[in-house]
Amino acid sequence: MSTADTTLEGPSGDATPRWRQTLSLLAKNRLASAGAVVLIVLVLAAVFGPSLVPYGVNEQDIASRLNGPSGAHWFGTDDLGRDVFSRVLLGARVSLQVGVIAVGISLVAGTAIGLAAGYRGGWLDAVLMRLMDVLFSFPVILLAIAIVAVLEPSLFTLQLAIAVVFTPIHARVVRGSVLSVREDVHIQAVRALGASDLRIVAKHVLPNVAAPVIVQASLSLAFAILTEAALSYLGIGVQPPRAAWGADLQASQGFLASGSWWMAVFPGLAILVTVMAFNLLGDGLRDVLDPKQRSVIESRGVT
Amino acid sequence: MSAAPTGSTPVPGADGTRVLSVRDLEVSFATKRGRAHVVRGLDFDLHRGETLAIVGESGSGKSVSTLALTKLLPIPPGRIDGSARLTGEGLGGGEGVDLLALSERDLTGYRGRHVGYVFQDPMTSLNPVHTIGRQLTEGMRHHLSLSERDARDRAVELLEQVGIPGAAERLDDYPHQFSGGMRQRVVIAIGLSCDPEVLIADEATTALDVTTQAQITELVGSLQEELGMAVVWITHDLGVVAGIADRIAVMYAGEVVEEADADTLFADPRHPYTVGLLASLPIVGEGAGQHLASIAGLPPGPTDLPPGCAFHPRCGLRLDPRCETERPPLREVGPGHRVRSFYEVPDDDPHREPVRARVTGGEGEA
Repeated sequence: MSTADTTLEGPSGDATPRWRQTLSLLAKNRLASAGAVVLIVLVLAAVFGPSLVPYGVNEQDIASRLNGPSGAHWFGTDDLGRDVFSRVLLGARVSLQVGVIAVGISLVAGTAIGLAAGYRGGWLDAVLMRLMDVLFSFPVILLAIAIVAVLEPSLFTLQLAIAVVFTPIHARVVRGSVLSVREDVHIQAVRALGASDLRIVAKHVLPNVAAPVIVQASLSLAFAILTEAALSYLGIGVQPPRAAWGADLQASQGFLASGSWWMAVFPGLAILVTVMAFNLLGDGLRDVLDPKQRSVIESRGVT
Repeated sequence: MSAAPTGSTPVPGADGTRVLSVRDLEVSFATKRGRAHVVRGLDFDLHRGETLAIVGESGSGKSVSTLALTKLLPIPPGRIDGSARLTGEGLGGGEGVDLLALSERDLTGYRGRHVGYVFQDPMTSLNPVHTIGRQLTEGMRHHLSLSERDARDRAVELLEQVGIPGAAERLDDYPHQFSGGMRQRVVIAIGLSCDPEVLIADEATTALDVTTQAQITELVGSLQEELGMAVVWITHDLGVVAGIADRIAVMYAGEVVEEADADTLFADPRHPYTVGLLASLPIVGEGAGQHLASIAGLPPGPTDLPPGCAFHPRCGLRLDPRCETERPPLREVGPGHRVRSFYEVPDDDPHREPVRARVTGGEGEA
């Protein structure tokens, strides 16, 4: 981050609201901005995909099957003569949806569990965290497979399975932070000022653990998308013919030997770019959200 | 349960209206090595505008006893007995309210509102993720139901009162943008925000450098004159105490061993521990190169208190056979001067020499 920053509102630039300062600081971080831009493009692709794609997802052109990238088919065509570009574009939809919903559920559940366990301590902590340990001890994919197998495979089950898998991660991150924040003198100080437990947890503990939670959430999004791709690859996630990166990757397997690299490379690249974008954004957010780190960045901008 | 005779005499500096009276305060904690008796039968009265200093070594129970007043201790391992009656306008219809008899829920209405706290380390007693404006207004909005506007206005006033330059602009700054001394001023402003009857300053200057210490003690003194609250000043630094306290209570092993108004305590200490404590103070310009006087040994742990007087194993005098077997009562030896000992340190005791030298020679300092 050796960027020679341009002007920045001074230390007392209090006219601009907080979130805009945060955004402008984030924009100064090139890697994080790159990640953010990629994600915005992805979200747009996911939202407007159906009206952007040159071909329908399952529109077949058997005559030109397994064609390499060309002007007509930018990413080539697959074994059924479907346009790979259209499928990759619409695959973003499934990946993002599954990622966001799954992480959303696990974030809420994990944060609630972590706050309760960490703040209350004692038997509640023991019970909740041992429960989380049980979930955590299963290999991620295996647990997800088990959940999908027990329930009936659908997009919702997939999201639920990934959410269950990620809940203990969030719960642990939150509980760990809460344990240290809880002992801080400033928590004692607001208690001495007459704040109730609920108020302390919501207004004083939660904001102090928010930074690691947000960072963890953006990293989890990356992993959730990977997990979704893996499950789809294994055939228990998104079912073909629906467009999904993992499933397409799996379908491409038989044709790699015959040289149809584009069928595998483009969905794979999509996964890679998405995961990386989330990771970069997560790193950038971590720097900007920490007030101490933040003033370092701010002062760097001033001098 | 000590039924200590409590002759509470109003003291100069106070206007005689009692705001807090603590009786038989006992705090103990369940530990693996048995019950730890941290505070054993504490009695004190606090009047409007008065500063009571509680001095003692680490672990003497001075902090715990004040935290116990509003039950700011983990209660399952801890246990608090006794009473802490808060009297003031509209409190319990003139009868006052026993804080220790209140439920946790009701107590939250008293913490901060009637009893304010200032903690030791200003570096950690502010929440790093909230602006100081938000932290300052929180108590006022909660207790006094002020609107955001009014609370902010009052916050600016408070910051000006505690001497923070450019108060209005600094409201939106974060704690890390303040120096240690400035932060402690903010913490004091928070403690004062709801205009409490009692302000408890728990080692409030210990983490600060000497110059800042002086500024903070002076500040609290002048605020006290202005606002008329009672201050409990907890410290282990007798130098700080000498400058601000009206009355001093010396604590040892969870009990008060001597209590008197500040002048009397410094000029005429009667308990061997107080005498030893004062004798150990260095005298500026004298005795250079000599060892400082010290009290041999360590305070007893709260789980294995000695029988009899808690101080007797370290006491060089032990002038009464009961010292080792019987817990001495708190005796009144002069107006408002109470000593927990069977005897008084004789006038010709060698330890009294440095104390006398301090009082006569070291006038004006501290």
